[in-house]
Amino acid sequence: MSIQLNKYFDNACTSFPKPNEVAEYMVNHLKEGGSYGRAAYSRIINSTRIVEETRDVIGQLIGVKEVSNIAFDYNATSAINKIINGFSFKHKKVLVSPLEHNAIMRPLSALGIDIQILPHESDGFIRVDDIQPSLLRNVDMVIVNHVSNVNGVIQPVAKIKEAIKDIPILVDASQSIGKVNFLANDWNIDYAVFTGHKGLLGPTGTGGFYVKEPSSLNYTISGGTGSNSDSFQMPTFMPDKFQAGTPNITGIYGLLAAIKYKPANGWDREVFLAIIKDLFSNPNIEVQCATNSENQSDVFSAYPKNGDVSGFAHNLFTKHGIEVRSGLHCSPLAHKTLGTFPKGSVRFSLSSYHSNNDIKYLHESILNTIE
Amino acid sequence: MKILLFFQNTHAVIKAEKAINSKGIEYQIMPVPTNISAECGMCIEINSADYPIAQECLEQEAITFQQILLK
Repeated sequence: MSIQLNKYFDNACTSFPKPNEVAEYMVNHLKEGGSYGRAAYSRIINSTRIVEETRDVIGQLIGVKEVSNIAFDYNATSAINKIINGFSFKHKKVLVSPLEHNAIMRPLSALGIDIQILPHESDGFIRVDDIQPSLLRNVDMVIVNHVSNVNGVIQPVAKIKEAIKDIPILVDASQSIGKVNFLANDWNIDYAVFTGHKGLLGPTGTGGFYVKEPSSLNYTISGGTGSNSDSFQMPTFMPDKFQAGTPNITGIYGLLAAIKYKPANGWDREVFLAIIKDLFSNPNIEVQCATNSENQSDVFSAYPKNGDVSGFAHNLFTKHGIEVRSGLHCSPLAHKTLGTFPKGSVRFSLSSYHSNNDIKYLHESILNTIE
Repeated sequence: MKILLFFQNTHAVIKAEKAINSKGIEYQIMPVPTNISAECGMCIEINSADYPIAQECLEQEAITFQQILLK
């Protein structure tokens, strides 16, 4: 009997498959559910309980005790825009990691912010010891992509915050939540952004952000909240301050199901690291990964030395059924850092649904395709 | 007699419900009466005899609330 292989390796783009319960919960909301907190009949009360339960479990996942400081949003990009556009940049200067996504770079650029890059190793890993006081002068905010969506490098966020002291840190946890440990309170994180449809295995259209001190941000979207309804002014309390309008309740149902029913990893880290190591030593292929395997998440990139990037992805799919994305992955800064701009790379990313056999199949498929 | 408990927002209502429910207190989630507040959301009704326990558990959870005795 042949075992069905999971050939989907584009989980850094969006996760597949999802737990079956994700669709079930969402259908349940579409068939039976109500709105959020706008009245007091049981259909609304039940849906409101689900939204608040989801906020609680997100708080546990990201290490936040004051869960009211977690606002739901429609994706990480929207959440990042609310933070960057709601923050007062006194000196209009920020320090960013060298592996930032355009979800960060474009909102900053739109505001005309002076963007400086943190000191780093060749794989983009930040050299915390080189963050000197002179570098921090007039810096309004430090922004770090916790896990790179290109080479999978995990940044030392807690140490970075220790080094920058009182300067606020914004952590883009889009690729890390659900995969890499995250402790917002313990690490003294000021702002953290997450998405629901990647490591958490939830539906698209879900995500949000945590803010340690809500008064540090102005709201950028205003509207009905079901609170302070006699006033034309937005509430200043949380989470209402950043949650105008009806949230994506159907999506939040699915997100809760995803978190509750996420399976344990079906693969072993050693197996995954072994194929990266083998590919890295192959003279016919360029691999973008963490220099130190301790800093490696379950994402890496590669492309054949003699061949184009998109053709590599196309051949992997047509010959072996491997589903992956090629190009810049919306991260031109990361590719400039890694020396892979403008051609980009083919990215491989796992989910908990993969098995060691799937990873071995991927390895064989890559080797076969570059020959 | 009944007591109505009012909270800042929906998030606090659900947090309060969880706290009150954990103490075995009978409660009912109600629309906020328009003659009391212009809110369009929820409040919680309990028996006045249960108020001391409810007050204690809400304070333990640091949930800010106001109360009105219904006669």
